[in-house]
Amino acid sequence: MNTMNGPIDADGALVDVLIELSAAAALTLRNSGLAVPAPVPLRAVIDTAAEVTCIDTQALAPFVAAGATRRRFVLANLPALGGLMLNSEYAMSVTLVHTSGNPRANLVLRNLPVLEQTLGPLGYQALLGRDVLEYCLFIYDGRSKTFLLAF
Amino acid sequence: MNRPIHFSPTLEVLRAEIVTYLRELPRLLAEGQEGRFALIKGDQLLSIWDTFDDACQAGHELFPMGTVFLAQPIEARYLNCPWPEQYLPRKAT
Repeated sequence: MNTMNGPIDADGALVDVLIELSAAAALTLRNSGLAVPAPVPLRAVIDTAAEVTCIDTQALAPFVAAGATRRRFVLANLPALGGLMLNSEYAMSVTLVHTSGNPRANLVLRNLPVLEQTLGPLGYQALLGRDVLEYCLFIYDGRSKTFLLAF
Repeated sequence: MNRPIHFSPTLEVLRAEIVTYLRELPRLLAEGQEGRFALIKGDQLLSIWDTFDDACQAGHELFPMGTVFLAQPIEARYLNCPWPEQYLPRKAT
């Protein structure tokens, strides 16, 4: 199991993630001789109240332009965004970047359904929800203002 | 579902597929298909799959990249949602 620590700041427990097309969508593009968009780095807040991971509209834009489309709708509880929401999902690849910089220590989820939301003004571009946390151990140490994440 | 539900404008892209899903959902549930995944394009239910990945793969094989289709889990809870009028299937006259 890989473990990493980070500070808790005014926005909460923030981590670095990379988003890219799902493995299936990238394969479809390659088989068609089309370019696959490069991964996009984002700051993400760990949100234990969010059922589903959310990504900012602008961050998703290059992937939508490359042909990523919504594949299903979901009823999700997102208290930070107003409560129960019926929204459409994209299947994306999401990589939780380990602070060591060692790519082999990253958590890679190659076909994760994510919701599109406008998050830009909040200071981070993604909410990491319980769909990602179910692969992790998460300890929030409010006294020392640090968190631990293991996966 | 007593709490209010917000309907995202992004659902509009899938409106035709959602109408088809809601039209077919009672029959699929009656056939015991709950938990499986319906592949839907426009007003047609194309096939039923065991996993989301299988349904998506079937859709990718059928349609070019960027084509709208739905790979939706068959769930009874969506029958109880207060869907806006434009998503509800028209009743036969």
